[in-house]
Amino acid sequence: MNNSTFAQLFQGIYTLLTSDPLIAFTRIGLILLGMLLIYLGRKGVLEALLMIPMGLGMATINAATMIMPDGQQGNLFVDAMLTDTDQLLGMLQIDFLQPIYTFTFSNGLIACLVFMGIGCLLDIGYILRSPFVSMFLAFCAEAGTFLTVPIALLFGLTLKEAASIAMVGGADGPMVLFTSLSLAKDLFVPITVVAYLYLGLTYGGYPYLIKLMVPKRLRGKAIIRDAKTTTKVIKSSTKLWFAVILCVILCLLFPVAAPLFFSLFMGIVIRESGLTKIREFIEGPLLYGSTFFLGLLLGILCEAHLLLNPKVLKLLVLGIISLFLSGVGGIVGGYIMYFIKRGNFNPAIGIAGVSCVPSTAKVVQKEVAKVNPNAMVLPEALGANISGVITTAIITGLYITLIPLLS
Amino acid sequence: MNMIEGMLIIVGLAFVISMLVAAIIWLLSLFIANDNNQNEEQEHSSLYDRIKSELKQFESFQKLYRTYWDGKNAPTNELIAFFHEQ
Repeated sequence: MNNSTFAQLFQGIYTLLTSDPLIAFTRIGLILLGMLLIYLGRKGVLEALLMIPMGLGMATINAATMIMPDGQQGNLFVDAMLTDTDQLLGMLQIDFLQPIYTFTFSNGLIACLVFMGIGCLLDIGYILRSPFVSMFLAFCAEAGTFLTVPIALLFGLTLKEAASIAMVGGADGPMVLFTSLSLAKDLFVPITVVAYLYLGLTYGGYPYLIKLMVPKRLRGKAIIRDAKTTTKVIKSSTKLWFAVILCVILCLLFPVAAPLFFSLFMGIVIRESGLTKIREFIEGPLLYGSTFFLGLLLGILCEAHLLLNPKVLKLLVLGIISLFLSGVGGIVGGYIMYFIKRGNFNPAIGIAGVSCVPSTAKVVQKEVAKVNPNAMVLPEALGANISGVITTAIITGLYITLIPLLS
Repeated sequence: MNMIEGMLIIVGLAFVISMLVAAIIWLLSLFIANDNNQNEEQEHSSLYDRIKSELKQFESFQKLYRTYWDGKNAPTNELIAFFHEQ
């Protein structure tokens, strides 16, 4: 059996042996990383819904590299960098995930569908109870989104790229995807991959940040609520009209981010209008289906050639800086609220302003309950958490609209 | 406008819009019912509920009024009977 027969038969191994050592080692590394993601997802350390399809996609795409008819290395899954219409039409008939990538991922549709599902899960009654506190905490928990921009500029990124990677601090996957698609199309694959990888990590990393910044005495603090707040019953119609009015105002202010606003508030409106069957469809099959394909496509996009961009290492560092700063900003906001409310507030709630719904709110309640099992901070944490989604959407709108004018 | 000024404007706008959103939510919360205490403590219920409660009282009064004069079992007197016979 000569070399060319071997190359024809075992193209995955052949491309691994004959390619540049850097690419070969990256491919092996990504295969192992994919397996690790599946393991950590299965163990519950990372978000299983996203990490398991992503891990298998990552491992598979780096194993399944072959020689294409034009002599270049490629695969039969997806070609993310196609821009020519004729080539794209051809590829839609060859690469089996190309239709999903082209028609749902690269135009942001999948992000909007995920957002619609999140909207259906959101009970905005939590922010209606104490709107100023929730929105203030959410604003503070955007510290990473703002402060990472100058840091990224120091790292040598352009302003548009810096704003895109800084959005990781907003901890909202669809927003990061949307911003990078609008501002830094060349880097949107690595930025989105970095974002989703780190969003999975918040569940594991933020408890340590809470322990580091909030002493045990304050962490276990229960909030004393007045009777008026606890008995306040918020009607569905109030929530519905709140969503409608806010959606219209935000779309008037930021037409560029209107698809995201519309999707989020559409989910809320469906939840509150009693359309049970549609709600079940959106928060069930649609949300889970979109999350699955999002994870799968993110994994498939983790192909060695695509990720070996010299900027990826910088993006990895900046992504973690952004999430860290947002967490710190949130807790600082919690402390400010603690002093404003003269001690009747748990500063740990601030980190829930990082809008990874509902992970960060759950993390806060878990950490508080470890110290004081009777302390219930989940309503306040969810209020800040949901406000975080709105604040991130506002900042996305501002970045998409204003950053191109500054560049 | 340089980058630093631009970023400061973005941060400022983000804060102002966030607080504006909070104000809209607060305005809407004025119309939130306080159902648990509505009957016992009228002063704790919202403006909307107070208006609605008054309207409901007026509607029930109207219903009672119609029942009284038009209902088959409504108490009557000779003058009314005479009026209906015409």
